[in-house]
Amino acid sequence: MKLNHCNWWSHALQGAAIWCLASCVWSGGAAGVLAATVDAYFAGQIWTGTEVVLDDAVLVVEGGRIVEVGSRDDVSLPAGTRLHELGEAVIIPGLVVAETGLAGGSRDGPETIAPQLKAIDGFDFYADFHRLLAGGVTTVQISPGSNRLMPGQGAVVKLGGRSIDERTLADAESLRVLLSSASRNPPTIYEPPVGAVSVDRPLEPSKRQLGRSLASAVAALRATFLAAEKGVPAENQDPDERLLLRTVADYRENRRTVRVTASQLAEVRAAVRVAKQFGLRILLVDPLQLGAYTRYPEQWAPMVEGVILNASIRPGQINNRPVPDGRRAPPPLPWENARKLVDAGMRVAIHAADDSDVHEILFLAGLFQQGGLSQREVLRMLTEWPAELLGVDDRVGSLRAGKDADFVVLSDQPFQTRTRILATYVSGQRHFDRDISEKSTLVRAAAVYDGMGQVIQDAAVLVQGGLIRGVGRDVSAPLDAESRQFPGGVIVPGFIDLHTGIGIGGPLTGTISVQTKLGDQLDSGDPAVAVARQGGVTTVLFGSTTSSPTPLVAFKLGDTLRVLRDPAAIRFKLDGNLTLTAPALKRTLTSAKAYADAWRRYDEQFKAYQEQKKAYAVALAKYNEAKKAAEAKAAEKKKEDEAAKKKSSEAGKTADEKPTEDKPDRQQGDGKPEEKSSSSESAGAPDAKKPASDDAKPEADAELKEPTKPKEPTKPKASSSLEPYRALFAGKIPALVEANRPAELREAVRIFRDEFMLKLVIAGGNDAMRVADLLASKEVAVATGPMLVRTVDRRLVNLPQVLANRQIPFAFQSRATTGVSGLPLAVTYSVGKGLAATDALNGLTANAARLLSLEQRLGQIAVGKEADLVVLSGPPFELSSRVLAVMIDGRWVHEEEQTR
Amino acid sequence: MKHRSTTIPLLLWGLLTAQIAAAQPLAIKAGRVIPIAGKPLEDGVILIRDGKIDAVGKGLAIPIDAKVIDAGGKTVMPGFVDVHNPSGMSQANERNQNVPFLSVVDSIDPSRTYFKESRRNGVTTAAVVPGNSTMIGGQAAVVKTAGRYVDDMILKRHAGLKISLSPGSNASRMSHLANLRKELDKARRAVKKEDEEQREKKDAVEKKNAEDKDADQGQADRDAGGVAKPGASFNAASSAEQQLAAMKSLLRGQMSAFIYCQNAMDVVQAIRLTEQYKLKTILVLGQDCYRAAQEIAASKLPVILGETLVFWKTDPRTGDDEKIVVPKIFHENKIPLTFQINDTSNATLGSRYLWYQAATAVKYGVSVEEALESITLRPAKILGVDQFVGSLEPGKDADLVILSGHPLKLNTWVEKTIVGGEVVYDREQDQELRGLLDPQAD
Repeated sequence: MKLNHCNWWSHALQGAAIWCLASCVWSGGAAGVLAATVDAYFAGQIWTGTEVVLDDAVLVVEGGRIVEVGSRDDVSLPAGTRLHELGEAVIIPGLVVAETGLAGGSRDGPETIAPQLKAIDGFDFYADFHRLLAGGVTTVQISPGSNRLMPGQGAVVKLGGRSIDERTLADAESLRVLLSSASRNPPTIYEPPVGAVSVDRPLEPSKRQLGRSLASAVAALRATFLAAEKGVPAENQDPDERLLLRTVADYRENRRTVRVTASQLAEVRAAVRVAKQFGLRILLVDPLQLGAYTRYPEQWAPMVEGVILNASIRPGQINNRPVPDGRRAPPPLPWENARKLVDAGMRVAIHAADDSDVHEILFLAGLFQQGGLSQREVLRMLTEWPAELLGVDDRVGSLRAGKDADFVVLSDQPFQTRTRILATYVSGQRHFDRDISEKSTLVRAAAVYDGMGQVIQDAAVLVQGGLIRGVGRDVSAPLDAESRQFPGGVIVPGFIDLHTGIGIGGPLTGTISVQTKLGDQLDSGDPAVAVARQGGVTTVLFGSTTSSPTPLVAFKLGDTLRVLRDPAAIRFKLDGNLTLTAPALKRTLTSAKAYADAWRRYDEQFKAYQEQKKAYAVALAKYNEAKKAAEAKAAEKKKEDEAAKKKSSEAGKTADEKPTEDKPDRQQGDGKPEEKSSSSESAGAPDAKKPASDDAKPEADAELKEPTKPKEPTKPKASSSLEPYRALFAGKIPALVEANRPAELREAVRIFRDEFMLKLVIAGGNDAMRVADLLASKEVAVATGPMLVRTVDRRLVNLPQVLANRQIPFAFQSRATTGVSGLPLAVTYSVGKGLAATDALNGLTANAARLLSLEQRLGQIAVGKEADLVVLSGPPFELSSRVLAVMIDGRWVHEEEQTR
Repeated sequence: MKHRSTTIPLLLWGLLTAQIAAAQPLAIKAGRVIPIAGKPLEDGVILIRDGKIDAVGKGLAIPIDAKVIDAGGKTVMPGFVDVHNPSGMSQANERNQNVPFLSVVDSIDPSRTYFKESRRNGVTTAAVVPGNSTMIGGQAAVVKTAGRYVDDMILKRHAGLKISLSPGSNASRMSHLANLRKELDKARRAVKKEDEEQREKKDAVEKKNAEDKDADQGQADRDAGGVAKPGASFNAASSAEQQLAAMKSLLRGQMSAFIYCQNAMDVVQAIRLTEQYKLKTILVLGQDCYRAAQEIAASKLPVILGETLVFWKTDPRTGDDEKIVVPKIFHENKIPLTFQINDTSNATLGSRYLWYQAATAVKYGVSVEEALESITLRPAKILGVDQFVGSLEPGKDADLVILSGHPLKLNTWVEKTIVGGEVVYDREQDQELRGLLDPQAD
């Protein structure tokens, strides 16, 4: 990857000269307007496609053309240039595929020889080439048919660009000839003439065509070129024949490219001979067997411009190669051919075996490295060489000043397995971006109500990956963020309904036991969901309304229903004869509490056990070590004792020598066991321990008691029917208790709040105003609805307003199906009867989320929250306000039909 | 003036069979007149004499002998013009793909329900054009929707040649276009040859005159000119010559080309052919062609939209559904619109009515005036019959429609349809409609 300095400097100088000229012109003209169209792409490396690879370089693009390529430090950019920092990415030229059938090549006309057909006529410029562009392919050759001897003329087109004229690089690139077996089954032609059949105009027999064997195909080819050589027939002759021969003669006389598909050796030989005879310039396509040709390039190089090799392998598929039969050598692999051809000085290009693989050409080309070709050579086979062979190298195939700005941004070096294509640019326009799923949306409106009482005028919300990433008047956003403007609109958080009957595509009947996972039953196809979210409701609780305890699931009303928590609450009901229902409920809760407590205790014990276990492990290690030390000491002592005994016995003889020799001796003897223990435990510890055990022997003995292994606590018996209560008693989810009459409400507070200390939310609470003091003092929340405003004792009672004034937190429930969309309207009525709009919005959004302990995720427009937005045409809870659009998890799920 | 030659027999026939009607002038007193050419009039009067509009205005003196139709409180406007429809024929296309010599006139059946339905829906002029599954499909004709025999109905016999750029189910686009170009080239050579011969002959005559040769010789030369002699029996030469004759008049610009484009890619080819062969092209568009709206706008060619104006399209990559509103896209590109209708069973109910198509355009941003023009005067201009129909102006044919209310409203009925000064549809006499709406009445 060395830089070819000479080349590069001359380029840079040229570039700089152009640059000076250009900047002179700009400074004189309207600099601002012009400068805005210049883009500079900084990359870790730029492969220009020729011999040059630039490190830490920049590519400058203006008006779809490359203006300059150079090292980052050497290029000066005009003011106003848009800078694109691509980091360590590698830029390569857009890939050029030298043969494809994208013009509908499999559909052939009936004639064996039809040079007048043009592939460009069959090419759909409006087709979606996203997949190919995603594979880095920017330019392709398109072939006419593929099952006739001479099916027509090919063309070269770009897969992107501003206009069709600009995208057409060559409308008659080459004359195609197929000598391979694919062309050897021509149909017979039967063409009755126009008008009645008579004696003068008999029905003519069907016309048989030549070309059922290689010999007749070559004969037909020779005859055609011979006829063209003789000269085009005069004006008054058969016009069909004239057109045919004129086309062939044009290719022969002007030595324009004839593209011959020939795979077997005989076919290749025939192609070369015909070329020699008529002085043609041919492009050899798909040769499998080249035989001796690679060894004697001078035999055919004058006729053959280049070779287009078939990658033969289909990515991700297994193909069977012929069984070796000993007599014949197996056909060489394409890269073996490539290596030989490149060595012989031939220009080589690669095409995919099948049109559905063209987008994987980078992968296929990578395989050619197996033939010992360098990365640079392989890249040339996909860029510079095909561009030259197709005669379009003035526009594409390399990154040089003046060429089209067609380039591919790679995450790493080309032709490595894990290298990804990050983006493809055609004529300076980005056509592909891997981050398409992470696309961000900037929603701008006249006001944003954040759900916590704050209103930001003329603000925007940035949504990215389903989350809110910015709120405010001035929001940072990526350049490519999709912008949605709602002039005069108001953005509020998505509404939350604390009890509905939607989500399973029908009514929920019967008793639902508390362990039921309703989240598994949800059906994204429920038509009621689409209706519900039209009102701006984005999150709902769903469950039964029976009197026995039942679970409620929380989910979002996106196109696929997304469960937030299952269960999100357990619903109880207190009604009827309280002397019967209350004790029954208490019994249930008592057994549930016993269960929950048992598990809580177990959890605590288990936690303690785990800590003990850790401590035990440490203690055990200490013990083992101490034990070993003690043993060592004991052994030493024994030795000492023995030595002492010896000494005492020998004392009379050598009493003077011993003390001096004794010391090293003892150290050696001590060292061995110590080394052993220190290898398994940390060094230094024995030193610390030793004096202790030496000084205080009784203490050491006490420490040497083996630590007792902690006992693992026994698990309580699991019960699926009581399992959901654990979250309830842990305070993670609320108990939603339906209670309406004052006695019921008092009982609910007494049981759930006072006795069992649960997180209590009253559902319904029709008479809550009568026990408001109690509720306020105990800080119990209320999910009001479906009737918010009622006439009680001939007085109008607006329950949300009463609750708001008593500082009792409240939210709303509709208990409806498709009527869920009407919840905001019901709240609007309450607002009309005195409830503050801020309190109402709070109850529909942030408060509801808090009651469900989901306030970390929902209910507000704030950075980090999930992107559930409702866009209204005016302030919330105004009669004239309509829902313009609804977004759930960053996706628009409802938009008002623009009828006018 | 081909029209003259065909309407004179019509008038003669009219005089003989319905002397009184033809002689008696007709006056329509209308609550509101929308003449398309000019501003709408409240309480206007339309005077009709000899099947032609005599005068349109306010407070005109009504001749004493005139038959008066009182359309007070009602709206009177020119009859609608159906700009492209193969339904007037018994069969839309020949099996042979290259039949420029055929004319729909030989296939039009005046008793077809299409014409009856047209009168019921206020359509007074229709271009009967060969269908889309063809290459060169034959010659279109513009006819009135009322008449007992085809010859009575014809307004313009050679209205254009139908060309389709969509190949048959199994053919390739390349050979389809190559064949089409071959035919066009053949015709172009013939035109060139003919022009040269004419010039030579002219030169020769001048030369001879200068040399003062005797006149008989010159006359003989003129007779020997290459034009096909009339009355030749139908043999190979004559059918080939007829084929060529139609193509020649196409290339000489005497006949327009209705070019059907199935896809957006065909539009580009149609524009190229138009430039290359100097054709007078009318683009007949398929549903998908909205994607080439910019190219169409740049070409300034007249367009006829497909009958499906609003549809949903699924993005193959993201799976997102996108609502495509064709008239909106064309309107935004400033392309004047005209509409097709379709009465086949698979069409939606609305797309069977021209007024509905216009109303759809209004829904998506086109002004009411423009929408009304797009179903009357504009198609008449495209078909080259605007000197006869398309607006209420003195001298034009008395083809008009009396509506119970605003022309683009759902609850508006066609009360009467008048073609050539004669009432050809009257809702009060419409037994079928009555039977449909109120079966108990009889």
